[in-house]
Amino acid sequence: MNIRTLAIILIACGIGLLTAAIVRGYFTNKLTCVYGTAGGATIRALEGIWAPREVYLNVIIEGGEMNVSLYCNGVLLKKWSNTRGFIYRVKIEKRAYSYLVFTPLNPKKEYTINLKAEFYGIEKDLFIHGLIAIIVGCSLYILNVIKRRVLAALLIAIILGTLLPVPRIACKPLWFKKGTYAVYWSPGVPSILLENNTAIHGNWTVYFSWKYINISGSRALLFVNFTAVGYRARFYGKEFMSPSFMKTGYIEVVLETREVYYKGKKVGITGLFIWPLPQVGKKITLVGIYDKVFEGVVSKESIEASLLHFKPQDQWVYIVYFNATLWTVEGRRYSAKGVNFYDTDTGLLIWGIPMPEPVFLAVGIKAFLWPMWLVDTNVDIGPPVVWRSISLFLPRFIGIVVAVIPLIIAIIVILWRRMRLKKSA
Amino acid sequence: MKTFLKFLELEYNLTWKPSVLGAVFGAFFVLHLCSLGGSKAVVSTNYNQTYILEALAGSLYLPIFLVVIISYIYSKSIADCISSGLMKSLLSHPIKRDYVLSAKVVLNFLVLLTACFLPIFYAKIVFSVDSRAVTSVIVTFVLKLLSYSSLATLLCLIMREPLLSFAGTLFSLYIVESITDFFRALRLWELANIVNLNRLALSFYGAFLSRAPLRVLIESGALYTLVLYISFSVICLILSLIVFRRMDLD
Repeated sequence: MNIRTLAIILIACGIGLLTAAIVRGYFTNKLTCVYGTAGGATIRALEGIWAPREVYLNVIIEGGEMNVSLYCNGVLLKKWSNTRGFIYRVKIEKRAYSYLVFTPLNPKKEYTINLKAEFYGIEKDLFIHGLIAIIVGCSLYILNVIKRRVLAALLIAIILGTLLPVPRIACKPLWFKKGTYAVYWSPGVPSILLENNTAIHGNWTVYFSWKYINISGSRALLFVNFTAVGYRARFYGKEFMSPSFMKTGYIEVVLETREVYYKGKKVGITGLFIWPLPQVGKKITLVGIYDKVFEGVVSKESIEASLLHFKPQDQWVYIVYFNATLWTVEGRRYSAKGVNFYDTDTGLLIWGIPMPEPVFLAVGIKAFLWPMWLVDTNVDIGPPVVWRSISLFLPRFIGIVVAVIPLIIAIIVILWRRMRLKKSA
Repeated sequence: MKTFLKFLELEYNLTWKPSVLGAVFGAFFVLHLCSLGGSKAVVSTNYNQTYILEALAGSLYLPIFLVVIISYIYSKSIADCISSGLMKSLLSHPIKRDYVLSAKVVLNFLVLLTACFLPIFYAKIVFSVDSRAVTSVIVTFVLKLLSYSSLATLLCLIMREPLLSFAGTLFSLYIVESITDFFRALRLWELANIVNLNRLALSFYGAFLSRAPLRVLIESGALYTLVLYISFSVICLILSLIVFRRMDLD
């Protein structure tokens, strides 16, 4: 077998791997499991080798609280203590042995665990292996036929060079791409205001998430998930169990202006992010619902890591102060006074009170006047650090080197052969 | 031996153009990996039997592609070679007639086998499939390729004309591929089990796990399937040699 044959086989296998990775990644794999446990027995769920994709976990536990741990390749990725359920998105970086461990807190109780897992996205290992095979194959091919195919080498170098990311100037937040998501968590929510202006009372831990699905014209389509896990509540002296529920829906957002559209109609301005990034001291439109708009004043401060649930680091944030009279519902007047924290790099809401939030209208909810924390996102928030700048630059540098090396070798070989020919002549 | 190896190289240059080589290897990778649906989420400890079924019949495109590519390769290698007069010039070399045909069959079989093996080995490494399950799949693919290649060789030698031999081989291999379903439709379950090559892989896997592998193979009927396909391949190859020896190429 000569080098040319090997190169062709490598390139073909690489293209095959890339194609397989894309086709496999196109489909979301949904797993639904129900487990029961009694007598304090610990359960391991979804035990096996997890594909290196993004995983959406939705767990509801009936019967009481449990401790839940997620292990990947022997490393504890995440732990939920004393929980009755959660929503969590995790990016599995490596194909490794993983599982969820459910440990009951009360050995006398019987528990039922409803687990939904969705695996989506491209498998990184297949994609990377495919790229490596193609690059190695191309390099071998170029080296083999360099005498007659200098133009081909140039073309391949140009093609590889165009694959490098190019900075773009845009009027909308650059971090808002297909697949961008954020998950918020709010424990102890006492009441939720529905779209029809009725309020339901109880005690919930709310998980709210949105995900950028697609773009149509200038409007981004967001998939919205609102999950409320119910706990015991006391309202006007009566004790009851708050019902758990989950609602999903779609809504459109114009990224440049933050206008929210539901079923083709403008319904407000979202407060889930602020854009463009504001100037300190200025008044901005914080949020709007229907024809009502609420403003806030911007300041910028560094806050302690303990106030945040997402990143264990001190964080610079925009603090937007608001003091708003909202509405009257069932004879009760609602007003909100407080602060929302926004990331200074992206404008994404890190902590705040959704007082109202028009994106909730996708699931039939208007507001819940309770703080919520950002607990998970694939948006890169936080101030840039030196090592992060280097890690951003490094792939481009390596990409340039990989693209240029075959060309450099080709030029050296051609010049060296010409010199040899001249000497022999 | 040297002459035989030279013939192998010559046959490779004649039949396996870079585009065809690339298409075959790329397609096998795509089809095999896309068949393995169970590996897209969680690969549990009992994935091995699922892997065997998925690898052999997970995607219908794989058997269809196999049939098409074998028909194309052998019609190009044998029938096209005879009709264009190239076979006559090959036989003018100081080499036995049998070796010329053997070089063609061996080379094409080895290239196709390599194209089948690469994605299987890749899947074994990446998805951590049990070696016994992988071996069962490999043995089945070897038998399948051997029987299809020998039948394709015989038909191409009989028909000689490239397009006719491609169509005839394609049709015949498609019948062989569908024969299990044909017997099932006629409710001939025993016959269907014997000709079912995919079932052979599961039986092999069971035999590997068992302490009495031969007994498992006999009881499951897998031994009959093995003997049937090996005999079929040998008979087709012997008939091919006989036809080729008696062929008048002037």
